Amino acid sequence: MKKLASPLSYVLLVIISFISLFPFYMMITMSTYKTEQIFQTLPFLPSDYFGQNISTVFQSNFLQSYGNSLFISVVSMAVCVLVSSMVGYAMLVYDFKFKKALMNFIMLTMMVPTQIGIIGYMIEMRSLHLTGTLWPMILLWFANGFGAFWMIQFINGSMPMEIVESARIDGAGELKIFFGMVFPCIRPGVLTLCLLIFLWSWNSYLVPLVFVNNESLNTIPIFIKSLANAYRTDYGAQLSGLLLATIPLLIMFICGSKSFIKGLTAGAVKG
Amino acid sequence: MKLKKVTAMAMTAVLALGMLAGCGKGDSKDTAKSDAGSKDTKQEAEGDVTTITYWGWDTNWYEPMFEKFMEENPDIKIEATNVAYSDYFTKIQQAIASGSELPTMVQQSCTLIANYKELGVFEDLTSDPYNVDPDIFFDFIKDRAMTEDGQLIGIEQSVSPSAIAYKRDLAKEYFGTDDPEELAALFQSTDDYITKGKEVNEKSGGDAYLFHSSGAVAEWLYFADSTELQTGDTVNFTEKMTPVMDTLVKMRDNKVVDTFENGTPQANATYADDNHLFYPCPNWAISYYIKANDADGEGNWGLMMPATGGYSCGGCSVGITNTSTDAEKEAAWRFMKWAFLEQGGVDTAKESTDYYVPTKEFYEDPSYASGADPFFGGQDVGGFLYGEIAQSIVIPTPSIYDQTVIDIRDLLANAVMSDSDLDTQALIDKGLEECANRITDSDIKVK
Repeated sequence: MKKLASPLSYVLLVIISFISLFPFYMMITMSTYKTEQIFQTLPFLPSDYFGQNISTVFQSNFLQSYGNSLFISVVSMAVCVLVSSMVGYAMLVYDFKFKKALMNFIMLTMMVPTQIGIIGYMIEMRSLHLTGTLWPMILLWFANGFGAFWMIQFINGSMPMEIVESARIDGAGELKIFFGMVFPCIRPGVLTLCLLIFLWSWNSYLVPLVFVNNESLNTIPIFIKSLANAYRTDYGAQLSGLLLATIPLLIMFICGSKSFIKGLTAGAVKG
Repeated sequence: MKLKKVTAMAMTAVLALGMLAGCGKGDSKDTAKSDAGSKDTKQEAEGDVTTITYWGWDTNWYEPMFEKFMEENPDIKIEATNVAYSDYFTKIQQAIASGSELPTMVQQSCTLIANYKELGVFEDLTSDPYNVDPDIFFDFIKDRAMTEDGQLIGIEQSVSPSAIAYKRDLAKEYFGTDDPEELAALFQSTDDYITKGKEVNEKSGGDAYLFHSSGAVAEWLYFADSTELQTGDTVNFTEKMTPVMDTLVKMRDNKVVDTFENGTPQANATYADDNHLFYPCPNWAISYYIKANDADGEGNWGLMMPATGGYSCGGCSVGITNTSTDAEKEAAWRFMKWAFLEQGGVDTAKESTDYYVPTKEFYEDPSYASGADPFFGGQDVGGFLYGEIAQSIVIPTPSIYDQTVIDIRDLLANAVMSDSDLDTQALIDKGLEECANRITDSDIKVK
């Protein structure tokens, strides 16, 4: 018989849930107020200004910014996860010269903050004639140190080498092994990385800030920050925009929460 | 299995679309190449439309101005990019460092104007083909955007004369009058604000304060002081900041100033309450702070001369980058001439944005800036700000450390309210410590 949790743990869970969800609730209620009213009272209950706030958001190029962000995040996520998984597979399955040095190099890239390389990256993009397009925001994720490290660790801990060896004996090619046998084994790791890359790319601010010189290339964070003029920040509209901006993240998390937790806890318990 | 196929197909489609979208140039509006090599593409062949670009944080100004200008000048197209104020200078610096294209027109904040001068990327507006004579502008502002060798790198969007705004009902309740001149007579020194502010707080049982924010008071006192921040290789932090901090400490100790952080939504909400009386008030604050935050306050506001005299607070100029093509420079200059020197643009700025240009000749027509403002109980706010205050303002020479010291000033203004043990000396010491961290040029002495 399943043992019931103690009432105390329920109380604790309710308190923690309340603390976690309260900011979301406040974001929702505050998005229904006019900016000037938000801070005059404590906006615990919804007001009637949501329509106007949403209309302010849609009067600017919100849909285009949303589309840009979605496009950037999906492409970045797809390529990053594919490349990272391949790196992870290669590092486990093949033996080659300088393997350790490559591993150290991957870890080294994780230690260099984006800010330090931004000017060099701008020069690189300018030389490739890619400024004025969405590519600088996407290419950054293609060779991602964290993604590679994550998949190396995950594949190391969750994929038995015997599977690859048996497949080779059965005559399977490397691509067939990778996509047909390895990929299903590392699904939780892949989904977790998908979620993380999507989230980071969706919320990225610095790179779009320096590369976006045309409002048609705006991403969501840049768009939301632009809902202000010299003297007034439209917090009501910004919160409405944020509310809409969190929808893809919530959907992704709800769809992949099981795998996400599996991915995060993989290897945490031995035996 | 079917789901897998669909997912794989969707991903392939997204990637393929990505390649197409990323590789394609698109039309000039959507994905205009912005590297320096593609500048000539901006001179669009069809109908000879010249496209110029502008980065700014002031949508309230540029949206109506550009719209009206483009309506009257269909051969010029201005593409604006909204960049948050806090990110603006960094973005300009990064564009210069990486050799990326700068916009044709750049907005130059007054607190960073000395830094913009050092960039060396702006056209000199006193030379051909612009030939601007700086003497046409208000005396206090005509040199602000001028380099040491006499190059004018920008024209001010609007003058920013500043005074003290007050709530008439509360002024009557606490001081027995709501007349601006009688009130100015009551407050002739900073000590008067402290004495009377203390009385207000006591009379209200601790509910009411003369000022809402130490940051707002610091901003006023700082900008009203004409002491030079930098002389030669020395940043005169102590000399510049001591009177400001001294007054703030006294105001805090006598409960003259409330604890709101200047410019935050919570602080802005006080414009509509019954517990705060005085607000240091630049001209732009009338529309964007007072009228915006106290929509029901019509007739209840007044504007009086501060004890320090009038002062200038805020503002920015617009310059043309020397990396632009000749056609772009010409188009940008046509816009700037229209916006700052011609009646059409000057009227548009006034009507749509409540901005008043620095060009003196327009003020010869009394109807340009003067007139009774019903929101201010019929007071001639324009006449007072542009006729009386703007004529008497003196501003110190800009320094490349203006913004750094202003950031430290705001930090200290918050610190003074959060720690009642901090006295003037402790605040100055703290400020000097911050200066040492932020002003790292070994040739510069901070004292």
